[in-house]
Amino acid sequence: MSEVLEARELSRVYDADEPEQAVRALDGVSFTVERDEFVVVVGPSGCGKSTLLRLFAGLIEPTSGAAIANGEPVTGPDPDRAMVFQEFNLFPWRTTRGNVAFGLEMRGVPEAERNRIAGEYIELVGLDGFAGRYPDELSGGMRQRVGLARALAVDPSVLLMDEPFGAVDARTRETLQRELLRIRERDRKTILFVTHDIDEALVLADRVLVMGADPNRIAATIDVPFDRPRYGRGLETTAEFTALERRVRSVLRDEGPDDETTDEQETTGDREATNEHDGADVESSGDPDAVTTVSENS
Amino acid sequence: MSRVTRSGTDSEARNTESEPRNASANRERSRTATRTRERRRNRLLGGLLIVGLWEFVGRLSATGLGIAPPSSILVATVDLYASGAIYGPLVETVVRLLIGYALAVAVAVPVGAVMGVSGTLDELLGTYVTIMFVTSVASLLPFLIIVVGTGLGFYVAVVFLFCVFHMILTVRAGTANVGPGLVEAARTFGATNWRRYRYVLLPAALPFAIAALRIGFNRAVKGVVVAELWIYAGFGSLLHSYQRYAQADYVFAVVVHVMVIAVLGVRVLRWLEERYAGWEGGTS
Repeated sequence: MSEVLEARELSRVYDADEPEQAVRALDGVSFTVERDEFVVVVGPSGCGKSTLLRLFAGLIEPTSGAAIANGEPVTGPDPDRAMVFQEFNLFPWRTTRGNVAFGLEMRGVPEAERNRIAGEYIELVGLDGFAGRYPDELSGGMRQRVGLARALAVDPSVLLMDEPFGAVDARTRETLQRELLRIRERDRKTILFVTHDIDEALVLADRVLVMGADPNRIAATIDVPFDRPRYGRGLETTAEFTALERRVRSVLRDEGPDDETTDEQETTGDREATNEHDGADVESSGDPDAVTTVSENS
Repeated sequence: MSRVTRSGTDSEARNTESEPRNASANRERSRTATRTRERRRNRLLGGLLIVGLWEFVGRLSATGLGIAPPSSILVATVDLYASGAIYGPLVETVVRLLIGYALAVAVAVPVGAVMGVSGTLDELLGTYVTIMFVTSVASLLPFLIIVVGTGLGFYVAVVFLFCVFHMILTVRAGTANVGPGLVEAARTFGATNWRRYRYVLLPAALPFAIAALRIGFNRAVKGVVVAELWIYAGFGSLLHSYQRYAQADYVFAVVVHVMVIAVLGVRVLRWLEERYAGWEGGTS
């Protein structure tokens, strides 16, 4: 069996004082992730994609259904599923080295050994020479490199990434995406990655799960057929890429709130409007055959 | 482990990200160093100016206003030691101060820390700590004399009450502000309950705890002086007796001792802060 992660009718409700105000953050989500597969969940804010990740991390418990990792239901955090956070969540009192070594320290790895391992991962993420710096002294992009190294250092089989590049500028984001793919070529990991950025999803993923809001469930599963390695060859400008992008966008549009005919979802309204225009430009060059939609379970 | 070769564009991108930062950081450092020197010089200059002016006015009014010039305070200080008058009160005052302060720290740090973490304890105590925080502790002195008399317990109680509420609230703020994200990050790496305290809450709250100790020490010094003035003991008895004979120079000489104690205490705590919580904001 090569399924590493499985969501089985996974639901999560956040209780409120008034029963009718309770939030269905996740409403019966099912999917599987194969070993070494890179799956990206894309969806608008509030669609429950972060909740999904936190369930697999074991930080919260499902209201019903199960998050299953390596055949066992997740009951709590496990370093075998390491998480990378959008807000980095680095320990400000620890240096780069101390942060990267944290998971090893929790495991009781002796200091010399964990410093050696931390050093390797610091080098892997390109932070040689910054091992002794505190997070305050690093740029946003560098901090997330530390966050990535910290997660990799415990050699987990699964990486859970919660909008990891959402808090850095666009240029740095691209660099970090490339770095992530490069590192993944070396250290094969099963990755479940959450983002609201469609381009990011398509550049990174083997498979994209498109989540809709209200109900918060998976609206479509889209295979991304591009060869790897993907960076450095202008993939984003190809007709296949833009066609896939349009496909994801149209699923998201159909999956908006029920009364979306007049106004788009507040959060994505502006983006949708500008992209509509882009889409029209690309229309003529797009090749519909390049789109491979595997399943649509809505 | 073999190092993965990176493409040229990759390391270029990284360099543009890191090198200018390095250079600007160095510039920044040397700028702050110059700035620190300037600040020190100005502070010294200000002190000299005040002392000079004071000396001048003091000498002019030597007979009338009773503003003792610094030179006469220096003479009085030397005399306090020569005559031995300072030793007894100094020891008494410092002992009372330290006992009351130590007790307050022993109570405030755990209580404040738990209040910051546990909503229940915060609800139980929060309001009352805040009420005591805004109450003038000095107004409680007559009450305290009725309850504990005028022995050592009185001074200890006053010092304790003067500083404990400030410290509780500061420590509480410290632990309450530890980002939930940090605790979550620790949990994902398998940090169990007590390790969350040891590896996350404790280091995160440490700067606040030390700040609390510093604020608390200042308040404790005020407390011991107020208590002693009220009872005519320790420094209080000295101050009262010199005041009775209008010996302003001796009164000031005692006040200088109070200042030195307060500054020394804060210095020690600041040193501790830089030693153990230097990561918090740039150390200066």
